[in-house]
Order: sequence, then structure tokens, then C-alpha cells
Amino acid sequence: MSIYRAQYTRYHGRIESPSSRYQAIARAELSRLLRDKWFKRLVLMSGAPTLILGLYIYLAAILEQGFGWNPLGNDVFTRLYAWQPWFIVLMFTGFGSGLISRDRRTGALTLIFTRPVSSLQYLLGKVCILVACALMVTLIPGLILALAQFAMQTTFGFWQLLDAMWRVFATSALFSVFMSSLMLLLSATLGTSSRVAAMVWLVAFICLMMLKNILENTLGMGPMTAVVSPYDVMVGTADMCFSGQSDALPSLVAIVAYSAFFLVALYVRIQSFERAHT
Amino acid sequence: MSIDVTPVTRSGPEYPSAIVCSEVSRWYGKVIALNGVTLEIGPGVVGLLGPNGAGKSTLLKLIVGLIRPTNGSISLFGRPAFGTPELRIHIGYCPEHDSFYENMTGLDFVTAMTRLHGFDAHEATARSHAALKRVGLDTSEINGAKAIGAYSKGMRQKVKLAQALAHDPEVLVLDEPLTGTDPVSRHQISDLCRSLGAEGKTVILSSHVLQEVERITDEFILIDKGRLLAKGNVREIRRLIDQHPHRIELVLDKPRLLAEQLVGTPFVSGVTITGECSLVCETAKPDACYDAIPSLARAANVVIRKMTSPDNNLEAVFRYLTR
Repeated sequence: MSIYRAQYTRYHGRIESPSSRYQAIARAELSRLLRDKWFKRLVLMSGAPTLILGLYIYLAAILEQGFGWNPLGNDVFTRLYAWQPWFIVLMFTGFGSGLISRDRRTGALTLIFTRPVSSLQYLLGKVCILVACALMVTLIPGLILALAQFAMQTTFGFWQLLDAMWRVFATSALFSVFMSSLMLLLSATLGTSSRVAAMVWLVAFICLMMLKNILENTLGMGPMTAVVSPYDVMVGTADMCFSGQSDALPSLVAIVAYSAFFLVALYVRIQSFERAHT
Repeated sequence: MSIDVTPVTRSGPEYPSAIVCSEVSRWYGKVIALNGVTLEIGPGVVGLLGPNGAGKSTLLKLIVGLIRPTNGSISLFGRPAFGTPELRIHIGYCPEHDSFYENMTGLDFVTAMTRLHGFDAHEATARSHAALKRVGLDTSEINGAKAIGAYSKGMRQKVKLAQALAHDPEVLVLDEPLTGTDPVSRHQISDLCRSLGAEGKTVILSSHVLQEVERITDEFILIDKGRLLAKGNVREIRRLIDQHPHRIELVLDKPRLLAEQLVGTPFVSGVTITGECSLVCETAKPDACYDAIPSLARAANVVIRKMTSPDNNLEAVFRYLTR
């Protein structure tokens, strides 16, 4: 049966608005990722810190004592968000580095731009998928711990739960947008090889951490040095969100400024594809 | 939020040209890829022919709206091809090179591409399935779990065609769709192009395989070095260049005797004896020449074993125009 010989008639139904086409891009990527067993394993592995910290919450609640730190306070979240960036790094190394470079390498970008899709929708679709992946390893564990505290601690009221959830959401969103925009910018900038983008991402992440430590410990520079390292920017942001430490303020400012810069640079880069393609 | 799809109406032969190119030029830096091309393309299949680097792919990308003309304008259905994304629902583009997500199945890939037109999941899957079937993939291949990376060249070409067809566009731009396909696939794709043209769609097909294009359509656009050489069917083009010498090759027993007879006629501009039993006659009036040769041969008592014209096919026209 062919569509025309079977009296196929032109589609006169309603179609989704052009402004929602980014969802089709994000959905295609998400279904591809969810079929990957390594992706699923990594998401499951990212739950390990949540399990361990949940155990601490349980023990602290029944023993009614801390362990040099208070699992029933905000410390548990700062500890969680010191671990989770590593899972984002691993996830993006394996599954995020090729999101744009692969489209360029395979020529799929040409096909996408022959559809009624603008460069902004394309960018939005790619950012959405990485943000969703990052939220899987940041937002969900954070919410689970907040609920665990609420369930285990009698003094932890509903408003405290809402407050904790809000902070978890803000921290996870900042992490996700920052890391996603940085990864996509690397993927869009470093040629058409996914491996190059992945290697640069991983090496830069570790080297910048080492640089921050050198600046801070060896050269005796102050807490401002955290802004050179993506990892320390994220840890500082979590400190700021959960503890309100004023020396972590530069990290919060940096994560917002970096994210905005990366997103603008990414948009300019993707627009340049449309032109250069051309 | 949703919007209505307004179908483009067709009304047979008087349907206006879907594509209008007006003095279109395209430069890549200092290199000119297309030079002042003016043409109109209406419903039916048209073959776009030219040697490598002639500007075929550039012209197709300009029509699809992937690139902006440096000078001139290209319009589709009266609207500029470049910078009008909503127009793209009426265009299906099959690129020359593979443009796949290799780890997706053919059905998933075509569905993902169709969804970018705004169809919901159910509609997009149904359309993709039907389109893959129409291009000649069988049900087991369509529903199989094999990723595109493991497809043969012919299957990949069909998937590329299916993604161009699935949203039922008015204009199909096919860049070298026959390249690398086996004879069966070539036959299927040729049939498909013919049927699409018969449905009233505007199908532009570029190819190097002149004989294959000749089998699909007799409407051609010939371009070379970025310039439009000719547009029309082979006979029209041949007629246009008939004032130039047309060659007739003869295999016969006494070439010198016939050569003497031919030289004496007003419509023969030259005769070359190419071997002991062969000659080539050049004429500006091929019909008159074909009529006269048998009687001249009889008068000279010459037996003609074979008479052919190397200039009477598309390849010769093309060779003549591009030399």
C-alpha cells in the first residue's frame, strides 16, 4: 500500500506551532539516550550518593546525633552537590559531547534546517535535552533527600520542606543550565568530532580544578579563585544556596554570568552554521 | 497553541510555476557557483544536469532556502525561498550526501524528521511508515531493529527519499538520488519520481547519470560553470542547436564513393573518412541529409551497413553545449 495509491489525502489537520518544534528535537534525542544502557546505568549510579546520604539522615534521626556534621540540616545538600557535578561531567562526556558536532558531521543539521525550524528552536531543543539529563542527577536526588529529612525529622515542618525544595530546585537549575551551555558550546565549537569535544571537556574540567587549587593554596589567593574552575563554581553555588556563605557569592555570580555568556555564544555559533552552511 | 495548515492549491497545466529564479547568482568568496540564472519550474519532473562543479547542488540549496542568493531572487509559490521557514513544509529535500543519525532505525529517523514539521507522534509515524513503504522498503526492513549504520547504500538512499516525502510536500528537490543504487533500486526510484511528477508535484532531480534521467523525464535544465545552458526537452534543445553541425556516422563498403556524392550536396558541410569502411558526415540540416543518403548510396552503388547519429541523445547535446 502506498500513501497515494490508497487515496491518501493531504493532511488538513492541525499541526503544532512552529515555536514548539524544539520539543521534537529534544524528544528525538531523549528517546535515543533512553535506549542506551550505559546512560541508564549512569543515571542509576548517580543515585549512590543519595542512598549514602539518606542512610546518614536515617541514622542521625534514630540516634539523635550528628557525625561531625549534621545530616538533618543543609549540610546534607552541600555534600550531595559536591558529588553530583561529577556525574554530570561523566554523563556529558559520554552522551552530550556529540549533540551538535554529530549533527554537523553527519549532515543532519542540513536536513533539520530544511524543516520549519529556526536556529533558536534548534538550540532550545539541544539545551532542553542536556538540562533534562542534568536534572535527573541533581534535582531528583535533592528532592529525595529533602523528602527524607521531612519524613525522618519531627521538627522539619512543611514550610521547611518547601524551602529546601526551592533551594534544591534553584541549585539544580543553575548547575544544569551552566553545564549544558558549556558542553554544547564545546560541541558546537570544537570541530565535528564528538571525541575531541569530550576530551577537551574532561581535561579542561580537571585542569581548571587544579589551577584553582594552585592559585588558592600555593599562591595564597582568596576565595575569588573559585570562579576559574567550573567544579568550584558549582560547589560554591550550592554553598551559597544552602548555607548563605558570603564568600561563595562570587561563585553564584559567576555561574549566572557564565551561563548567560555561554548561551549567547552558542546562539551566535549556531546562527553562524546557518550562514556558513550556506 | 496550534496553527492551520493551508494547503497549496494546484490546478493542472495552468498551475503557475512553483519555483521562479530571477537572475540568481551565488558566490562562495571569490568563486562564482551560479551566475545569473533565470528560470521557472512548474509541476512535473525536471532533470538538472551538469558536470561536477557546475552549480547543481548550489541551485538546489538555493531553491530549498538553505542558502541566500548573492544576487537576484528565488521564490517558491511567490514567496522568497530564503528566510521563510514556514515555506519549508511545502518542500522535501533529499541531499546528495548521507545525513543520518546512524544509530537510529530508518523509521525512527524519518519519524523524527517528520515531527519537525509539527505532526503529532501518531501522524508522523504513520506517514513515515507509508513513505518508507512507497520508496520500496519492505515491512520487515521498516519495522526491523537494524540501525541506519548497518543499511546498504540503496536502503540509505531510500530512507533519504522517504524523509523528503513523508510530509507530502509540493516541491521535491532530489540531489543525486540515483547515485550508488543497484539496478532494482534505481528502477524503483525512477518509477517513484515519475509517479510523483504525474501527481502534479514539482520534482527537481539532479544527476550525472544522463541515461537514467532520460528514462525518468524529457524535461531538462542543463547548467555548466554556474550558467544556464539550456532548458526544455531534448528535442527542443536539439532543434535549438541544429544550426550547428550534426554528425552522422556511416559504416559502409566504399566510403570514398559516397563521400564524393555527399560533398556535392548543399546541406553537407563536411565529410571525414574515418576508416576503410567508415565515414562521418557533418550537416546543419540532419533531416534533409537522412532523406538523401539512401538515394545517394544507391546512385554510387554503395552498401550502407550501419548509420548512427552520436548527436541525437542527451549526452551528445550536453557534450556539445559544455564543450
